[in-house]
Amino acid sequence: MKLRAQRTESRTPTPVAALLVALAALASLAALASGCASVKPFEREHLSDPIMAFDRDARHDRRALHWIEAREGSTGGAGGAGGGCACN
Amino acid sequence: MRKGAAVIAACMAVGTQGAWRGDARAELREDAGAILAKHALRDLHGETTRLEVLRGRVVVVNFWASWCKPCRTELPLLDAWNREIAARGGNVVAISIDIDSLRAQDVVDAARLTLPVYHDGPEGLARELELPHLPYTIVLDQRGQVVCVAREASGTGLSELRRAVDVLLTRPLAAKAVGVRGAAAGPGRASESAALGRARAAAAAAEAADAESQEAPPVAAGGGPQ
Amino acid sequence: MRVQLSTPNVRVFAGPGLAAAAAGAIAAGALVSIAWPRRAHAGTTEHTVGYTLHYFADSDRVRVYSNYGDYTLGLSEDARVYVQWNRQVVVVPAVDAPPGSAEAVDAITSASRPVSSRFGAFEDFVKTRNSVQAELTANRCRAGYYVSKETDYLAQQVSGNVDHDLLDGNLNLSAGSSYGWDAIEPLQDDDTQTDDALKTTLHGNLVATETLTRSTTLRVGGEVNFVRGLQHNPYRNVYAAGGPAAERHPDRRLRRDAYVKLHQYLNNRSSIKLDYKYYADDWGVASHTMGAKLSQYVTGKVIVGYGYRYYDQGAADFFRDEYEDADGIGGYRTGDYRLGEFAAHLFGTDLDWDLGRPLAGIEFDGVLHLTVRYERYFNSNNFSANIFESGFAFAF
Repeated sequence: MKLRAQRTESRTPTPVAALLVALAALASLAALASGCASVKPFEREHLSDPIMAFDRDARHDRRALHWIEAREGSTGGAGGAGGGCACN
Repeated sequence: MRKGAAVIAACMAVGTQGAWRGDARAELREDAGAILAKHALRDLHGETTRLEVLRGRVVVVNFWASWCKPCRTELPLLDAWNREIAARGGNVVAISIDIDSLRAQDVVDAARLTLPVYHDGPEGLARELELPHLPYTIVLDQRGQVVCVAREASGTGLSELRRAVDVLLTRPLAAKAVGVRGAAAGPGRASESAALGRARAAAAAAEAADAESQEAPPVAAGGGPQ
Repeated sequence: MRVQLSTPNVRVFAGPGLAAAAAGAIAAGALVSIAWPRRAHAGTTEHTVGYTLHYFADSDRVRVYSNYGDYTLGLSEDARVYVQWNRQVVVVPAVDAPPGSAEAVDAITSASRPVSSRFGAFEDFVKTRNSVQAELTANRCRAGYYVSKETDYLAQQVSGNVDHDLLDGNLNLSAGSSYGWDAIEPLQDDDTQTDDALKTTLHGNLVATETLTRSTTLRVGGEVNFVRGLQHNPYRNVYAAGGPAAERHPDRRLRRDAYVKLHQYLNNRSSIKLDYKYYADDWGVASHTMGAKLSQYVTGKVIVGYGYRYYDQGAADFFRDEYEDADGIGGYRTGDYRLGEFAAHLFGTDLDWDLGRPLAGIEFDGVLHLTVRYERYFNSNNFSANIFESGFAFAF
């Protein structure tokens, strides 16, 4: 098992800085996106298919996130925080 | 002139109230009416026709798809409207842009539609006209010219479309071809008055010139930055 | 060892009969929906009622039975109300060792559940949790409230989200946030004493979804969670310097993750979904999650899905199998395997069946969907679980 050096102080960036980095990344993505292909409204049949929807599995994913977070050390990935639970 | 202005006013109202959302620079090409008239349309039974056979009638052309929820919402309304105006010189036709015509058939069967439904796929008229939105409704006057477009044919959008078509149906033989594209809400508002003025001037000039059919080119509403 | 923790300054609402309140809310919603004037035309889904049964059973013989009921009311094309109720029963099995044996002593010492005269170690421990979640969505804005209650834990959360389309609808940007506050009132336990405590979670996320081609969409997101308060199990002891000591985690945690998801439509009416997530926090835990799912139309009404997920994480800075120092590492010690190093696999398959309108012609004519799902989970700690789900959604 890997042993890491002891530390009591967080060496991670401040929360505000982290959010600013995320915002900058998304802004960059949006800027890059302006040069990407534009799909016309009448070309969206495949994109509108239920098997392509991000929402299709959203409720199952939220339920799964609940039991997964109770058994693993990470969190997130569903675009929003799950409800509180006694997962200590 | 009065009728032309009324059509223009109704179409402008459609444009401002007919559920424009986002960028309002969607415009149809100048020859959209001619393209619609000449394009071979296949109905769900495989029979082919062209809209030019309806020349002399007001034609409301609705583009829809089975995967488009607002489209499915408004189809029954258009179906009822078609039955209303059929005896008055008007027709509503629905053109499906589904890849598979069977999906269009499923919607027709489920909603028990009676209006003429055609299947054209996404690479036919939709591509040729570069449809800016779905659903999309185009009103053609008795000469086959585009006089009005709308992005929504239910609720407020439908009532304004009805008003525009009613105006066209009242005096069919004296109709003047004054094409107007719906203006956008928001930034386009400032230019609506200017566009309306230009349309009125065009209608007045056409009417004053001669009693013979004098087709004025479509006047773009909502000019200026949007 | 008595652990002194800050006590909550505010006694949060802990009304009894939360399940009854939830049932009443759903019943009220149903009454409203019946009375709501119906639109004059067909083709609009106004109401959706759903139910899901979720059953979880793992190699430690823990069983979880979950019932989910949900209701959605479409107010207009852009607005809707969503309510979900959940009742979850967790059965933690009795210690499976002769009383007084070393194995039993060890199991009781490191138990993650209370052990006392009231909650005997050699009896199953049953915990029931009821939760209600409500969301209002209007004009691309969403606001939500969540509350869950069990005997020793009351969790509440408010959330909000906005999104906006750009580039003719080819790009969607979304921002969300939530704030949760949990009141923890540990039950009586023989060998740990934890005061009432509070835990708060502030969450933020940014997500961008882009249409790349006619058949490809990409989603990129980032999330951050600031957690404060009690974050260890109040009933669990760990072995430190040869003897049992209460588990103790830091009371602050900064959790971050970033993910990317790609959906690709395939020619034969199927799709493949790929996703990757990287997580890291200031306790030293870092993980990678990779997943893939194939969805396929078997008929026009039946969709079958096959999914796989791989998870790999590193240990927290203060995680040890055993602690030589009674004080642990920097004052922290844990018996929570979730903070250790391990890898996990999850296989799953599901079937979604659109039954169409089985009640055609009847007053409550609507579209019925059935779903069944099975998943198998196992990790490198010799832990495994089977998960079953089945449910329906009725839209009318």
